Amino acid sequence: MLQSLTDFLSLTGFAGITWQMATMWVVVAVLIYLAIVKGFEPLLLVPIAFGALVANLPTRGVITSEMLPNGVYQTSTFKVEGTILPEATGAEQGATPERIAVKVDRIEGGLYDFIAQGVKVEIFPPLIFLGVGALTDFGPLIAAPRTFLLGAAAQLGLFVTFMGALLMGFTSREAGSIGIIGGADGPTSIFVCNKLAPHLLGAVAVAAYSYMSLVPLIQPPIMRLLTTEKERRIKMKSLRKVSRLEKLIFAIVVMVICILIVPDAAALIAMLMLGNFLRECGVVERLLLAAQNEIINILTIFLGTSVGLTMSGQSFLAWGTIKIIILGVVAFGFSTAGGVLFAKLMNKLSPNNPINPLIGSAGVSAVPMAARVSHIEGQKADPSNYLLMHAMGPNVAGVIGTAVAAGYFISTMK
Amino acid sequence: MLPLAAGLPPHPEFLESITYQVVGLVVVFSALGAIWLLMELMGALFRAADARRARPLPAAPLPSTATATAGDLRPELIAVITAAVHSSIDSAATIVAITPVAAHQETNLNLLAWSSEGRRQIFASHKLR
Repeated sequence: MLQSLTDFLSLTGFAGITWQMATMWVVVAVLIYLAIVKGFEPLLLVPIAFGALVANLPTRGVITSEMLPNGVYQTSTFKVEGTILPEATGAEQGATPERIAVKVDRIEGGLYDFIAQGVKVEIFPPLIFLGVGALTDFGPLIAAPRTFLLGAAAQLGLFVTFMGALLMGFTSREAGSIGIIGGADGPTSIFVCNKLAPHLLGAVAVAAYSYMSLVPLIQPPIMRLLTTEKERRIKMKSLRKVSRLEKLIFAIVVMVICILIVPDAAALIAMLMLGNFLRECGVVERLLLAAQNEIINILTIFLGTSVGLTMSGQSFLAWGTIKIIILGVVAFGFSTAGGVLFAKLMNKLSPNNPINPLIGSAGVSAVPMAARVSHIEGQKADPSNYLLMHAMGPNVAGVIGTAVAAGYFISTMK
Repeated sequence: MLPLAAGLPPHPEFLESITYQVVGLVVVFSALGAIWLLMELMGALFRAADARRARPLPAAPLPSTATATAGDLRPELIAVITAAVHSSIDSAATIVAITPVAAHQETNLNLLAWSSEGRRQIFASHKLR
C-alpha cells in the first residue's frame, strides 16, 4: 500500500520541481504584477508570464524542451515516426535516391511544439505586422515627414549594442540578433533572430517583449536627463490634415523603397503596408476588421505564450541569457537617447520650427507605448501640451526604421 | 573598406565592426531620408492642390432675404435660439447669423417635407454597409 503510494508520488509533478523553477515563479509573479496591477502592456505580458509559469512547471504534453550537448537550449521539437516506402529502397542497391518516400505513422509532440512552429518558421512576425499596419495611422508621419529622421536616429541603440555584444564574446550573427532588441519591436526581433541565431530566440524574444512593456519605466529617466525643462515645454505646430490618397500613395512608396534597399525585410514591410493599405483604401472593411482584431489577437496569444514557454529556468538563469537581458536594456537606452539627441540637433539646425525633443524617444518602435510616454512626460512639464499625435510620427517611423535595420543585418550576415 | 557583400565574419576586427555600424546607420538614414524627401514633395503637391481648391470664389449675389442682426432681435429670442442649438448639438457651436423664414419659404419647406420623407424611405430600404 505505502509502496504503491510512493510509486504514484514519483509519477506526479512534485518530483520534477527544481530550484530554477521556483526562482522563475518569482520572475513570473513580478511580470504578472506589472501587467495587472501596474498595467504595463498587459496584452503582451499576461500571455508571456502565463507561458513562463507553464514552462516552469513539470508539464507533459505542452512543449518539448531539451538542452543539447553543445549547450544550446532547444524548444518546440516533435518526433516524426514513419516507414520508408518500398519504392525508395534504391539506397540498398548503392544508389542514393534524391527523395525518400516516407509514410508518416505518428507525430509526437506537445500542444506548443506545434503552435510555436509559427515562430520557428517565421509566420507569426509578418502576420502580426499585417495587424500592426491595419491598426496604424501613418497620418501624423505623413503630415510631418521630417520625423522620419527621428525614427532613423532611434536605431542607434541597435548598432551600439551590436558592438557591445561583440565585445562580450558573441559572434557577429548573435550580436545582430541581440542588437535588434534596441528597436523595441518584438516581431522584428524574432524574425531576425530566427534567421541569424535561432538558438538565442528564447532569450532575445523575452528581452524584446519584456523591455517593450517596460518602456514607461526605462525611457523617462533618460528623456529627463537629456532635456531641459524649457525643451520639454516646447509646443509644436498642429499637424495638417492628410488625405486618403496621400495615405495610399505613402503605403506603396514606403514598401517599394524599403524593399528595393533591403529586400531581406520584404516579408515584414510588405505585410505592414498591406495591413495599412487595407485600412486606408476604405473598401475592404471585413478584411480590415479581421486584420485589426481576430488575426492579431489570436497571434498575440500564441506568440506571447510561445515566447513565455521558452523561459524555462534551466535556460533563463544561464549567464548567456543574463548577458542578453543586460545588453537589451543598453540597446533600449541608446535608442531612446539617439532619438532625443537627434531631435535637439534638428532644433539647432531649424530653430524656427522646433521639435519637442521628448518625441525623439518615440523613435523606438514600441507602438504606441513610446508615443504615450513622450506625451505623458510632455504633460508633466506643461499640462496644456499635447504631444501624442506629434510623437506618433517618429513612433511609426521607428517601425519602418527597425525593419530596414533588420534587413541590413540579415542581408550582410546570412 | 568592409566588403559587406562577402558577409561579416563571426568575429570581426574592432575597426571592421565600427565600419559595419556606420554603414548600417547610413543605410537606415538613407532609406528613411529618401522616404522623407518623397513625402515632403508629395505633401507640397497636395498642399498646393488644397490651396487652389480653397481659393475664394467670386462673390455671389446676396440672397434677397434679409439677415437679421442682433440689434433686430430681442435678447430673449437670441437666448432661446442659442439654448435650442446648444441642447440639440453635442459639440460647441457658434451662431453666426439668425435668418427669419419668409412666408413663401415656409410653404416651400412644407412641400419639401414630402420629398424628404420619400428620400428617407429610400435610404431606409437599403442596408447600410
